[in-house]
Amino acid sequence: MNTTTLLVAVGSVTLVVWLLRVAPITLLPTDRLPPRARAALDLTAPAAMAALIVTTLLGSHGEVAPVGHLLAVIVAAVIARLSGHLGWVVVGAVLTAAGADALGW
Amino acid sequence: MSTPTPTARAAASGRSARTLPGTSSYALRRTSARSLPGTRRDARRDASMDALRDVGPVTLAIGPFAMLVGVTMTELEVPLVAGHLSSLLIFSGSVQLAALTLLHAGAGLTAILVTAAVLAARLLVYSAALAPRFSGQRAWFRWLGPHLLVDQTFALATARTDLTDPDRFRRYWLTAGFSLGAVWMSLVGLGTAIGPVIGSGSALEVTAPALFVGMLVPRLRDGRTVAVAVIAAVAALALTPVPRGGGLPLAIAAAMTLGTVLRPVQEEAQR
Repeated sequence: MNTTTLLVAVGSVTLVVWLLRVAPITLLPTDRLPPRARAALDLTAPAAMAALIVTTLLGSHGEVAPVGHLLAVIVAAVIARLSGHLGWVVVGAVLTAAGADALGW
Repeated sequence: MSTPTPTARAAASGRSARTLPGTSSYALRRTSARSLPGTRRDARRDASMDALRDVGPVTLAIGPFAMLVGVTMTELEVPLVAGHLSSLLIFSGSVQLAALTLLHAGAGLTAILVTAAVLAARLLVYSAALAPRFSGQRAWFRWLGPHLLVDQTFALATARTDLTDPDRFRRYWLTAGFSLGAVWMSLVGLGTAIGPVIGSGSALEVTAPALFVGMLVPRLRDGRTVAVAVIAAVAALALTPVPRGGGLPLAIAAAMTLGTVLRPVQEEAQR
């Protein structure tokens, strides 16, 4: 891979991604947003988290995750509901997935 | 003749005793707590410690993906320094992976940039949602701070209700972003070495969805939020065939739009 081409591509992608990150913050008149727009933006987090759960569970070509991974996500939800501690959520999910793998699920 | 008491002096002057120089109340009212030595520093230190505590579990979750990026960089024969520079500059694993893969396959710059824009489109929505937190901040922070905007920093910052103070938010954001970035860069480097050993299909692949589950569940406080989450998940599933990962931002946008439509329907039902 040619280093110059790589650096040009990386620099261009960096600029595009940075613009997406900074444009609303610097251009959006947050104090003049209509209430509906404000309400919609308040829903960004739950919508994004839910969509990301699905996309990270699916493979790169949309294939369904192994049963063990689906079970791990359910266990993660239960631990999150009971403890709210992210560390335990992740550890619990990994242990569940590892156990399911060991059982051949 | 005895020294007049503050109350007596106040009565004589027509002013409240609390505003008279020399009284302890006067001294305390004139001195802002924030300017007392140690207090402002303590508040900043608290924000940093909160950020470090919150980021801890997140680093567990980003490990496998970071190592995947490292493995991919090795497989694509990306020059080491340029590869790590791309991790630092782009600061988005999915965009970085897509850009490097397309470049290796001989794609043109336009195709790479379009793909990057589609994959990063959700950052536009995140940025809009965080805009109120960045307003009133110093200019350098408004222009440079958003570089640290990723799924994880967005989720962490929006989960806390104690970041309304601009200084506290800035300190929290920078600490969370930089510490996450340092871990990310380290794990990408580790991935170039041990990634192939771990292999695909390992239990560690579940850390990413588990992390997002952990961030979502506490937010499901009412029916509307639950409905929005369900809509987003179903939409993300249905839109999987959309090329270049475009289904993800579309699913988020669809759920947000329907969520605002649902509100008047719910309020009507409750009357």
